[in-house]
Amino acid sequence: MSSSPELEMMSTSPLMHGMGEEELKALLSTTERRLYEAGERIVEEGTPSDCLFILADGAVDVVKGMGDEAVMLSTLDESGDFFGEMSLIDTLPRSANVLACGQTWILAFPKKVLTTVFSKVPRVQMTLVLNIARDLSLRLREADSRITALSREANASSGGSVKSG
Amino acid sequence: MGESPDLREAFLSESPLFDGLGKVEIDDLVERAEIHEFVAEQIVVEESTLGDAIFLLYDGKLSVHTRDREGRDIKLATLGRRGAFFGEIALADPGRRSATVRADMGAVLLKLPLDALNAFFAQFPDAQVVVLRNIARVLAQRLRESNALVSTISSS
Repeated sequence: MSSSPELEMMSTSPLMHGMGEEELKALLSTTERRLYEAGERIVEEGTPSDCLFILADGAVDVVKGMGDEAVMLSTLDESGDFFGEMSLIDTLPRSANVLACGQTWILAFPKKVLTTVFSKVPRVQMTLVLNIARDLSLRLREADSRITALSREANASSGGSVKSG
Repeated sequence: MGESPDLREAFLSESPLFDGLGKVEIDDLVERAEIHEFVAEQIVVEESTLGDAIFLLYDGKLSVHTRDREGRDIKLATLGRRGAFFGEIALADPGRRSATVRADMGAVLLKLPLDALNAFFAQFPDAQVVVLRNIARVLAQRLRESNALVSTISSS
């Protein structure tokens, strides 16, 4: 694939796995490029979701809650990493905050614009949904093994038996 | 599940997995679905084997198990609600089963082999994106719940 570095970056994103060059170009034409400074909030937990994001350059933290209550879920630091994909799947509010770790470039894909791409190139939707489902299943396995590990720790430190609930 | 296709049809059409499909499509799926009965303690799917089917619980109770590093059995979940399903990840991400599912008592399940689903999608191409979206929605819902649990355990 010749052409722009952005196209190059997109083509390596797990979100775009299986997408052809024409399809990538169609998607790239819908994107908004955004620059965030360290600590800036890109996604706010609890707000309606309307965009899918790809990390072009920099790093972001995915955090549930804010301040003292904050729990870090993950850090994304590879260009091509994506977040906010649940918004394409359901209409629930954002499930976590996403904060820029340093100066960070993001490609934002508004859901509304994506929908028009889907109607023109139906295969794009199928590929995106398949990639999102694959990613969700991976993250679900990770989250579940973290729960198993945390429960064991909690259990070991309390010295008692596993509590249900 | 009485041998009545009507029952199976109602059952499939109420499943969140097949939300958004029309009657013709559901009827076709019903034809492709297999009914399997399990006795107490019988294994439905085994961890690390290849996932090649989606299962929906019609009647009975199942439990989901894995083993920790020392080989001890860990019970992850119980499935007892009619319509509960598992194995759907295989459709998006073919791979090895991540857990063992066992019948706690006699159970009746509807099995949709991946081959049958792929044949169904070949016949109804529009249905594929609908079903994949439904699967992704279910996975997203589970992930939200798991992340909330991680956050609760971590901050407690």
